[in-house]
Amino acid sequence: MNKQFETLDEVEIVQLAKDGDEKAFEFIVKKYQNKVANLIFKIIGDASIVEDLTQEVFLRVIESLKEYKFGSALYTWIYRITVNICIDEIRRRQRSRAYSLSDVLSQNPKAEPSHSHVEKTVEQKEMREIIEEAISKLPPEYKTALILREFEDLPYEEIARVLKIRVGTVKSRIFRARKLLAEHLKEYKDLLK
Amino acid sequence: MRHAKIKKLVSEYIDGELKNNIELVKEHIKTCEECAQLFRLHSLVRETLKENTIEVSPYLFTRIQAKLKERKSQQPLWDYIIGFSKELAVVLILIFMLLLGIELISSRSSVKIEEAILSESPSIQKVISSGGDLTKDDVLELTLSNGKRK
Ligand SMILES: [Zn+2]
Repeated sequence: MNKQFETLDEVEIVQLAKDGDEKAFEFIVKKYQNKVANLIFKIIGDASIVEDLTQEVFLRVIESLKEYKFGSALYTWIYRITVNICIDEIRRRQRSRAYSLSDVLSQNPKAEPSHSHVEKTVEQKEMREIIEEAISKLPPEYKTALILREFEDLPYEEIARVLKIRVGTVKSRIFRARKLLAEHLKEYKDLLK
Repeated sequence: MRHAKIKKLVSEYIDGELKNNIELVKEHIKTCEECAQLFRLHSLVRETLKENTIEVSPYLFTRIQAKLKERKSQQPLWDYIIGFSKELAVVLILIFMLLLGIELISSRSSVKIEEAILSESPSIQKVISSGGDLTKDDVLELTLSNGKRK
């Protein structure tokens, strides 16, 4: 990283970037790129798309830097852009999945999901895989709030700022995310013992 | 407090965000299996999320730079104009005011000439109607009448 900026305040660096200083923008990208990439990785759960989406986040950052008013911390603002891009991506994927599922069903009407409920033991699957799968099934709004809490360690108030929602809403989204996870994991009866 | 009421507080307690009833929740977790599970779930989720992380390629910034240049070169002229819309508006207003000013000044001077011809100076009318063919007496009369008006 550029040493010239290490001694500067973040506000000063952002101001330089706003004024078109490319080195200042590079400093911001390199400071947050891995944080952004991991947040995307956790929310989307697909490593193959992380690099492209991280790139998209910083392009949006530089293009809308003029609108950044220093009212919130820079990372809050960057995280908000990241979450919005992730939610767009999830919706895009859901739409295309809905198409492909309806295609399959129209071609083969018998291919319906089975309702048989076989209790699985943890040995059948890696524990991490089970948890990751359960998290991936959460509605994006709940999942995002939970990840900002458990992975980013953000307090409720910061999560509220990133997601532009009330603290009470953050509280209930995280609570519901945990309740849903517990339900998903019920079939692995010894996991939470 | 019963489980139904307390379970919402457990999630807040787990996150260190609970401000009241902390002891109550602590005691409840010791005796309630469902709430204790929520606590274990929190640890598992945390461990899982933190376990597997990634790093971006060292060329990410170079790629962003290239993309930025590409986007800038593709930007149509209209975007460029919109980018300067404020400045453009100021310039247009200035041009408009300037034209308006010129129009006002020129119309005012033409009124003056008209007034002079029609009412203010009958001597000029006389000169015009005579077609420039004035006698010495006419000139003397006009000079005297102009002097009186002043
Ligand atoms: Zn309970």
